[in-house]
Amino acid sequence: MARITLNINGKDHEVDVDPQMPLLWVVRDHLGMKGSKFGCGIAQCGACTMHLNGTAVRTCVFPVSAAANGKITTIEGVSENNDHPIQQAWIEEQVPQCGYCQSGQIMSATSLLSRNSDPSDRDIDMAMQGNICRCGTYPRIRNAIKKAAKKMNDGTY
Amino acid sequence: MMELTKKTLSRRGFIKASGMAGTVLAVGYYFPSFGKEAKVVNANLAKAEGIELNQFIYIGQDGKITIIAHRPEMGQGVYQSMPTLIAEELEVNLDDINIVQAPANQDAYGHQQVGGSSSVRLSWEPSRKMGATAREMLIMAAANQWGVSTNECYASEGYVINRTNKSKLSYGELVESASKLKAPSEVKLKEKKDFKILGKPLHRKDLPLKTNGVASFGIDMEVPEMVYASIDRSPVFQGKVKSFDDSETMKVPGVQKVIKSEMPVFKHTRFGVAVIADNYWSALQGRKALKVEWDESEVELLDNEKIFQQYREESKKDGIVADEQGDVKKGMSEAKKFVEATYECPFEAHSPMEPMNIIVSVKDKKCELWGPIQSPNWIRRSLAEYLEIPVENVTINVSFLGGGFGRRAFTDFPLEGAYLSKQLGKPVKIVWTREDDTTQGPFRPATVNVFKAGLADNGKLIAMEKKGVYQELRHQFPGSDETKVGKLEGANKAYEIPNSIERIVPQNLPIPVMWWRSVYASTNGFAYEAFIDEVAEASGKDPIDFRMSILENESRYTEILKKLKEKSDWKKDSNSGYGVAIVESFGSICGQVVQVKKTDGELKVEKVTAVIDCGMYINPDTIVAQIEGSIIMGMQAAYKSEITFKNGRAEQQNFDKYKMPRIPDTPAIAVHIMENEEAPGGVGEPGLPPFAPALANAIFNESGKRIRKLPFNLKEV
Repeated sequence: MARITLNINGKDHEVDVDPQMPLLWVVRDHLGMKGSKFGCGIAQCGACTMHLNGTAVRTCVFPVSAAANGKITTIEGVSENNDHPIQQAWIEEQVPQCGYCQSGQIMSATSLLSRNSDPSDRDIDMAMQGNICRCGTYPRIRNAIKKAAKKMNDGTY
Repeated sequence: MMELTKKTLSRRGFIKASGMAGTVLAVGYYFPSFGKEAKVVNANLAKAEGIELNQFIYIGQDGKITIIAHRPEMGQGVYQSMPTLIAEELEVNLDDINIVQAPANQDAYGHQQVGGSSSVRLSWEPSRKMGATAREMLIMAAANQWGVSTNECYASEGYVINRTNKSKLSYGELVESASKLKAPSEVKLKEKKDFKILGKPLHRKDLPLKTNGVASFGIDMEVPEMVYASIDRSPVFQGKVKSFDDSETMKVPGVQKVIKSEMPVFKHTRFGVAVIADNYWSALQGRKALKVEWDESEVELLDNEKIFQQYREESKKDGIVADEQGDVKKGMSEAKKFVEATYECPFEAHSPMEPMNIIVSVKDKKCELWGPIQSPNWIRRSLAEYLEIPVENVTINVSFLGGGFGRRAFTDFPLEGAYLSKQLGKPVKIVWTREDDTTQGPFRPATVNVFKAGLADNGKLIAMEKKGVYQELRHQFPGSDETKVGKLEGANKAYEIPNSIERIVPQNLPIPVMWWRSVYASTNGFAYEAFIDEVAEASGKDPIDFRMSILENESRYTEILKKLKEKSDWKKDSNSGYGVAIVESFGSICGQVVQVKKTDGELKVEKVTAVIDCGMYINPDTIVAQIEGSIIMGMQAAYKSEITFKNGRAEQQNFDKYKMPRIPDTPAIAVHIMENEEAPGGVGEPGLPPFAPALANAIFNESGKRIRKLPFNLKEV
């Protein structure tokens, strides 16, 4: 066990856990933030995606000790009120069906748009191919990312 | 503003939570125990008469309206569509109501299962009747107050309005007097042309909870004193625990104990060893350190190729006749040209993104469950039987479901929770790993379908034999009659074939199988529509024209085919291959055209055009979403992955080997909905069956190669 301080969504949290425990389970079960999901446990589906210093990481295989000095953002930190342009576009395009994978999808999409303000279809494919959606919301994810990019570029949000 | 309640609440709890003080008009159903039709009643009075029921509609004096979503939400939109049916007739806007998820209670809510694309079909009339009943009672109350006839009044947006002097009273003002009235026995439902919210692409109110991480799925729920379990189950169905060594497991911090577990699966039990811990991670680490020796001495250890060889051999048997038209023997004897083909489909896992999980508490002859389940009523009954307690002692709380696709309709995982909780004497939360979820089943049954067609000199199809070789789902249940079979779902009954026979040769395997999105229509639909394409080729006709020629009296079908031809630009690009398929399932007809194209030597699905006739509907955008999703799930089963067995074990464990379609695989998808006033059909499943055959037929059109076995490798075509 080790005492580790995690900066999540701008707030420091101290936890006393096995340093090898994946970040996902610390955030979900020790800190009670349930928005990030468990899907596969082997970094194949992306349901657990969070940002570490702005980069999307698969937290189901990411040891908590490696996140100790970084800034972590979870779905809860994107915007509680759904006023981030990605969330707005997601709602306008009615993307989610069951919704389980969507936290991870949104984290991958925000990471993409933070480094590429006008992604092509290929850019979207590359950035989003690590996230599985069994309901098959991919056509809408594609449309929503383009819509969000437009909103951000036009300043229409 | 609509206030979404994400937690399930007891009735008392939710009236408080909804802020309903004073009198409440509650309208619900009274389900008589014996056969008679359910009656819409005013629960306030019904209660006085001694009828126990929960209600679907609550109207408070403060004007707040709450409508119960009585079916589980797994992505298909029932959380909103069920209340929409009531709201339409009640004359209220969706923005002005609360929606509350119902617990399981068949006496109060009737059928609550989500499966078989049945929700809208079963609730279309009863739910509207309930809304209309409440509306009429509010109108009566207003008419009494004004001293006018009810014809002088109408309801709109939460008010009753006096036609003559335009004065109005809100539902909140009328509720007290309305609650003292008897519910009318007959009410008039609105006509389609007068619908205000039905048929409109309204935004789903549960979606904002799913874009900010707030929606609570089963895996997110916690109850006091709960422990976590991760279970090492026998990798072979019907294997037993010979012994286990938990010495290393018990050293893992957080592990509390290790006990044997049992999960009833149809007539059998899946045995395992459960690691009980303070948190899920500890349980999982403890399980990794666990050593279990399995006893597989009494189990047939199956290999995939052996299963299919057996099925092919079995296809020579007569089997059981499921359906017969005309005289197929005579038809075949008159035929001049024959087409024969065999089609094979694999086992598949459901793989909802939320791995299976459940919380169960068994204590003092009472049981409470929290979790993502498709069959609240069936699970409640099964728990009561399993624990030998009255059904009233079982409380079922339904969370959002992270996908279901049929898997979450089954009773196995809740019963396993009950077994463990009873042993432990406290609430237990079982979370399956993805590996558990992929390898343990129940699976979609593998199938071999054998077809023979006889054509007359002029190319007319005059006789057809169909035979399905597969496990019959129903035969797995205790006490089932194994001489009875279902019809070949997804084999198009509308085609005019004067002489035809269909047979099923049911198979017994120690592999549990279950409904998988569109069930047998996913496998039979492929076989049948791929075969009809081969018959079309033999008759020398274009695949769409040929289908039209044997559907002359089926205008719903021919309208779909005409629309498909137009919208898909059928065969307009000479460098593309085009394939069509049309399948009726779950009360709807869906046709699809798949366009494939070779670019840089590699075949790609360019575009899918889908047309669905599902009769009258609730939300067109939800229909489009369901068809898109069905096509993408159909892609997985057609050319991405399969579950194979070796030595009795499922070989694919996780998404690295059991591959899912990903965003780069997604073709352009265009969905068109037919407009008519036919009875509502299903929407969650009918979009899946036509995809695989339309794709196979497109590949034939592009390459001349027939695909008769799924999955196939798109890159190697």
